[in-house]
Amino acid sequence: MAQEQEDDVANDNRVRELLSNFYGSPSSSDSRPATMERLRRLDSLQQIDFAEFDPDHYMNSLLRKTPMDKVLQRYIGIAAEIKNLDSAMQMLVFENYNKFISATDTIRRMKWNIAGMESNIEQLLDSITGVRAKSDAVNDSMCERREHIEELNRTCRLLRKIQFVFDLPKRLRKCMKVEDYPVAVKHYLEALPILQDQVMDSSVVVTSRAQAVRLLQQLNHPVESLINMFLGAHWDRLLEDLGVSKPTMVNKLKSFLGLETGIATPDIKGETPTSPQKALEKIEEVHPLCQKLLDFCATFRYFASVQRSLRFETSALSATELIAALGVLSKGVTLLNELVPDAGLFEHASKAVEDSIRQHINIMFNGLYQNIAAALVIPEQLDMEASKQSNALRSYLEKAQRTIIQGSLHVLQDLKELLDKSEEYLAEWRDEYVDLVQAGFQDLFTNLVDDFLSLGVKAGINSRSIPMRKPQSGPLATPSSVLVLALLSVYIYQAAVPKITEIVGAWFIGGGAMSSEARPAFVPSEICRFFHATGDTLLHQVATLEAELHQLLDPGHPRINPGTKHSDHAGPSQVASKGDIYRVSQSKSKLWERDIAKLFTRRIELFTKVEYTQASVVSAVVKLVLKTFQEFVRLETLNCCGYQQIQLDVHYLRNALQNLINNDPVVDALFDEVCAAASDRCNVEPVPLDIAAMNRLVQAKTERQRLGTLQQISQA
Amino acid sequence: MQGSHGSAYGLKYQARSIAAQVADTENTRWLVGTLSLREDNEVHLIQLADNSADILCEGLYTHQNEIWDLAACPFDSQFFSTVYASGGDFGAAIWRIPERGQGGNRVIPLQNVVNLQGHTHKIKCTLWWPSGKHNQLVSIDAENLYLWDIETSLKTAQVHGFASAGELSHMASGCWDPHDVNHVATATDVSVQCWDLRSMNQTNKIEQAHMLQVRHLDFNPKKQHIMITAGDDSRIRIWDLKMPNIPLQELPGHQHWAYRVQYNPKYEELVLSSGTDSRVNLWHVALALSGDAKPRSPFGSPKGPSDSLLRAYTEQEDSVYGLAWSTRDPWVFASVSYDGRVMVDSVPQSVRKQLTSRR
Repeated sequence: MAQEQEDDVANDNRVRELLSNFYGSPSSSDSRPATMERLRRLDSLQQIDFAEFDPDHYMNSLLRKTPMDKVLQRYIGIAAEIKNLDSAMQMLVFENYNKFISATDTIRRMKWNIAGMESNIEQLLDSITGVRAKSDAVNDSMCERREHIEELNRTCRLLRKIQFVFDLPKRLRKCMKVEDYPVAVKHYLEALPILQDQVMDSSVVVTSRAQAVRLLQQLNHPVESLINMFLGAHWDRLLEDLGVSKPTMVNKLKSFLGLETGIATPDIKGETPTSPQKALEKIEEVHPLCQKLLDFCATFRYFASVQRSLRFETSALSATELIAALGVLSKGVTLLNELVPDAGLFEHASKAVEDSIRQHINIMFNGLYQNIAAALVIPEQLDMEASKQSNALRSYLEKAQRTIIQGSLHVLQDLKELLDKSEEYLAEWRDEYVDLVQAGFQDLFTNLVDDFLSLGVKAGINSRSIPMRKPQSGPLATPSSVLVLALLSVYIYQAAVPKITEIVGAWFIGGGAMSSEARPAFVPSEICRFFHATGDTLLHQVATLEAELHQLLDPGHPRINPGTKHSDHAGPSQVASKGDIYRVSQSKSKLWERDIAKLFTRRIELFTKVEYTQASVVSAVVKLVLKTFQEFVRLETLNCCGYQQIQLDVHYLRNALQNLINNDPVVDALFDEVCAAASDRCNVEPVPLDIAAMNRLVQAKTERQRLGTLQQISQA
Repeated sequence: MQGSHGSAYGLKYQARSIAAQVADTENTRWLVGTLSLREDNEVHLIQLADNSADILCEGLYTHQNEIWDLAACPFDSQFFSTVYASGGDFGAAIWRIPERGQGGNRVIPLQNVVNLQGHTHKIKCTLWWPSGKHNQLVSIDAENLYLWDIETSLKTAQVHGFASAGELSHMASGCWDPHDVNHVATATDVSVQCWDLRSMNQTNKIEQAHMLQVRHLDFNPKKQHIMITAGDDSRIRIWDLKMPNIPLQELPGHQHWAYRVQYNPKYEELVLSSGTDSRVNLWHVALALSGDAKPRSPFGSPKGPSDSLLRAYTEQEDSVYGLAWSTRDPWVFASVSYDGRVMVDSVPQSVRKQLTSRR
């Protein structure tokens, strides 16, 4: 209850406060103790609107002081007031409520508006991006113009400079006339660097440069230093250009020659075709300059550079391109020669041409040789597959043949073209040229012979010698590759050389320039003889390799097909000899070779299930014993005699057990294994006994045995 | 690797010996020594790659003589011992693996720490102290057993004790008892002898462990007195040294000599054996038969060959003379065959599950 009353009081106070705030009446917080005292002393009836209003006190005083009718009146009045207040409050609440509603509406509207805003902003962004792109485009297009304008500006400045230079003599003369020497010197000093720049700048047109030169000359500038400067700059630039690709180089060479002649004969380029006289005049005019320049040029520096550029070109150029380059050179030389007939330019030029052609021939033959050599290297990689499919080898052989003949024909054609088209350059040493070509073929074929032989010999080393751990320098030659080489050499001396001889005879007539003291450069018969010999050697090599291959792989056959072997029952001696061959090759080759042979043989199941037959049991026992024999041999270290003893024992056992084991391939393999183990455990290089010796020993032994038994029988 | 073939690693020469690098607990590594009479031999330090089945060569060291046996030092991965022979010469030595030079994988000669001199017969094997750091080492030749005090830092080796198995006896190998460090067992002819290293006297003997030469033996890593032997009679037998007359169990072994036998270092039920029939066999040995349990056979004879072969690994193509469990991964092992091939194989997944679930 107390709680409720308190709540009521608190509620009343709150409502009152709100109302008093609304009606602007002084709130309880303003009321001070003093005013409160004052109010209390005032008529208590007046106190109703104040915070300190005390209803009981008010009622008492009202009842005490006021007559009945007044009280009634007061009651009515108060009731009316209360009603008024109520309605006012209702109004207030309603208004508040209204405000809430409108606020919610506003918020809802705001939300809705914002949702639309997003798309608008995106649109805005798009349009702004568009604007920016447009502005960029405008900027770009303007940029070009701007650059143009800038360039024009530069040109304008340059023109102004040139103008100044052109005006210089006039101005100087004027100054001289007026005798204003300081100004003249000033002009002169200003003009000097500009002119020097002009000469140095390669992008400037030839005419303007010539003019600049002339002006400088008029100004008595030292010509030598100018030339040195110019040539130095151009030399550097040329060297740089030589590093650039070939076609541009040809152009550069042309332009270089043009420049070279251009500075010497400033106006030839522009005007020669129309007015030769005028040009000559001009040349006369700048003659001293030319003289100096040519003194400089005539040093081999110029020709060295030409030659070098030619060398760069010839590394992959064909004859036509070389001829074109030579044409350019000859034009340049002719021009220069007209200017300075006594400079001895032709000697230098022809020397350069000769060198470059020599080089060209060399390069052509080198290229051919390398092509062929490359074609010869392939079989090592394809050997594995090649041995499987015989087609690959054949196609490879055909390819190599094609490489040789077509490469030779190509070289011949190229050189012929050179010979035909450059008669003028070659006129004097045509014979020598022919000799060069022939010597090129001779060298090519002798090199090939050497190569073939070295490859073949390498194969020989492989097949029969020890150095398994020594790093082999060259590629490994296999029987198939040796065979291919042999076939190739046969092809060369039967088909290729005659054809080449024929063509050389038809196209390169003459020669023998140096035959007086030496033999002819190209001797087809000799080449044929070489290749014949090589082919024979290689074929021989192939034959031995093949034989060894057979030796190595032979033991595999009976294991692979025990059934067929079984049908034609091999005699003891035959089997023995087979085993011995295996052993011989074994001792010769190494562990890895045996491993390779192992790959070809089927894995031997040593211990199969023993059947309940006599043969099976005997064979199982023999196998066990032989395996144990092998294991014990592996535990020992033998000398050569020990090895031979075991070899002999095995040989003997092989014969002796022949009947027992019914020629079981597994037992045969085990005998081989025992021998292999003995060979492995031999502390020196094992020297196997030969079969004949072993047969003799075994025979002697059996003979003794037979005699022994006979004696026993006879004694019995 | 379950179901698939193991990984192979080829040596240049023939080989007999392989040993797990016990002291290296971070890598699965083995040392393999080659056996080539006429060439310089090599010791390969090979490692099984962590994420793949590849075998990597971590080191290649030259060792002049052919290596007949090889044992890794249990406390320092830098040391190992080899038993070597060349021609009439023989010996045993401790080596230190040199620091890897600048040349990377270049072949480096080993650093000789000490030679064990004094043997009068061809040495068969060396045994390191079974676990932990200790300076004693046993070497066994055909007739004698030497106990050495080794000082690797001083590079000295002194004979601490000496015992002889007798004239014309033929010891093939030995094993140090991991439970009692004073005992060493040797495979002497057809018998197994136990030696007390304090007195250097024979303490126990299995008179006829096998019909033929006993080739190898190994102690059970978990239970004392239990050992396993392999012999030329192709059998594998498990013995309780307290009952040396009758084997606890016999495994069918191999089709030819059983050459090596080894308990799994972690799971005593797993036994690995290799033989000259170029097989590696993984056996399951019943636990119930170990300890003091009597043989189940009512007549007191050894239990007949039971079907305890878990798996036969037949990838090798020549006699398998070397066998070693990995010390790091108990499911992985390596074998080396005479033709110089190292195979790393693993225990089949089903067996692993079975064994781990039982724990």
